[in-house]
Amino acid sequence: MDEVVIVGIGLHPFGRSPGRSGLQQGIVAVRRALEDAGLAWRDIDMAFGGSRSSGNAAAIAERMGLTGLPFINLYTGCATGGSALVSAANAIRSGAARFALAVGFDKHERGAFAPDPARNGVPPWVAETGLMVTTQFFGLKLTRYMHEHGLSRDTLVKVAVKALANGANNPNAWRRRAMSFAEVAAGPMVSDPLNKYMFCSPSEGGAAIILSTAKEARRLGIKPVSVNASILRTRRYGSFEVYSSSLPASPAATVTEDAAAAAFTEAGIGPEDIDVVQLQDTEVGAELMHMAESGFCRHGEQERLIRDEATAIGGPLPVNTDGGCLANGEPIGASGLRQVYEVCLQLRGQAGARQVPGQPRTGFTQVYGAPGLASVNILSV
Amino acid sequence: MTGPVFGGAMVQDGMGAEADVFTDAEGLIGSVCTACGERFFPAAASCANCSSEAVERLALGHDGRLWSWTLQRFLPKAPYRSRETADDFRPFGVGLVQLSGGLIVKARLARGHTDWTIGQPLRLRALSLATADGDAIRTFEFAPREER
Repeated sequence: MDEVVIVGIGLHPFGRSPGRSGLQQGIVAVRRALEDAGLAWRDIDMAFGGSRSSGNAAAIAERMGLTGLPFINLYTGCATGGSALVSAANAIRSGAARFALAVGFDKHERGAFAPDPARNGVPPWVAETGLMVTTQFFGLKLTRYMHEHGLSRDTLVKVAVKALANGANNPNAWRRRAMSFAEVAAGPMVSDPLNKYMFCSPSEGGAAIILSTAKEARRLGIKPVSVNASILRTRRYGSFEVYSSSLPASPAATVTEDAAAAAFTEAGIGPEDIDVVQLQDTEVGAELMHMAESGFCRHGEQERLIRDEATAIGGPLPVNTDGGCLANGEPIGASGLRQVYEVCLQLRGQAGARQVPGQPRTGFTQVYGAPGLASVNILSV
Repeated sequence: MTGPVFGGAMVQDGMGAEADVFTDAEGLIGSVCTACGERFFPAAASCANCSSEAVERLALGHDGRLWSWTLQRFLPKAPYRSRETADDFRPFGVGLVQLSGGLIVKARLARGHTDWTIGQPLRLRALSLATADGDAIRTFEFAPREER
């Protein structure tokens, strides 16, 4: 079986793009990915994509050319991009496609999301009485985690400071102004212990990734990024997830723990072998908890790692080098593929002012989506 | 606090039947899987652990301890039905409360408190939420046990 590789990457800048629809931002990302690979739209054999607020991804074919390709719309919350990439990788692996596209885009209104209970299997009264607000879940999970593992509020502040410092060096990021510890710490509280600067905000953007085989990449004269693992998992019984109304006395392993473990098994390497890491950072606590859930440290060890700036660019474990969701905001459909785009730039040595030193060879991406799924990719050159 | 709660917003159990979420006498109403023993709140029509449909109604009581908490600091968007506006909204706590049987449930916490402590004893009580259309939603919240 030939190796699955990334031959093209494209991004539409994240943030606010007045007068440009989410779909248009997705099309820009697709055109840039095709250009990056040296391919034409008619070369794409199969496509997978999604958005939350900007319509069907398959509408891209209307603008790019109605070639008759199978184009599958999908939506799995914040893990939509991850699901598209897993599907595209499987299409290459099975031989169903020579070139497969994963694309995601979105354009959200300002303010927190208002999820529909009926679409998420939640009784209407939960939302009607004010208990279906996603920010609550993040506060609840983090309060408990800090209690059990001894993380301090200073550590939360430092994660946001690091994200905004990285975003300031990323021309495609939304928030490009670095902020001081004092400025972040003084932000208005949103959902305790998390304040305004510790949460990402819904935003806009598009991202596209083109997959193929190592053999096709050689034919194109491209030095590709290898996909060593591409894994999607849904939650198991007893894990504490975003819309849970109850959980058992001893919560089970989280879905990110399951997905990361499966990905490392598939890739045949361990967390200690990874040079650059992108984690779902809906808020600062998510980044900290996903570090441990993915296997990069023990629970509670984050306190020391953040104090030592281990996760900064230049540290031994660079995390969210492009500023993550905190600096890019979250266009739900595009977010997971942005992580893959960033790892490809880092592994190709094209990340400019935020390039991880020492020629990184391996990368890891993780997204978490409602109502409890995670997607993990392990990439290498 | 008797009879079905949530006037205008009856709880569906997934099979189309209406079910209570709490009663005055029994506290919260959940379900238990008779095949594997796992408990759920609100009541579920089948078991998320073992997929059995052999589930029974289970009274979960009034008492618990705080397992985790946060504060809802801004007015939730619709479908939140309270008549509050962004101007007169007052923050409320949201807790994960471990009931005496072990199950952990998500619930509103009584207003007027901004500092909660994991492990503190809590007791269930009724809460009436006035809605924009002049109706009221009867729901529940947990308050510090000494506060009745």
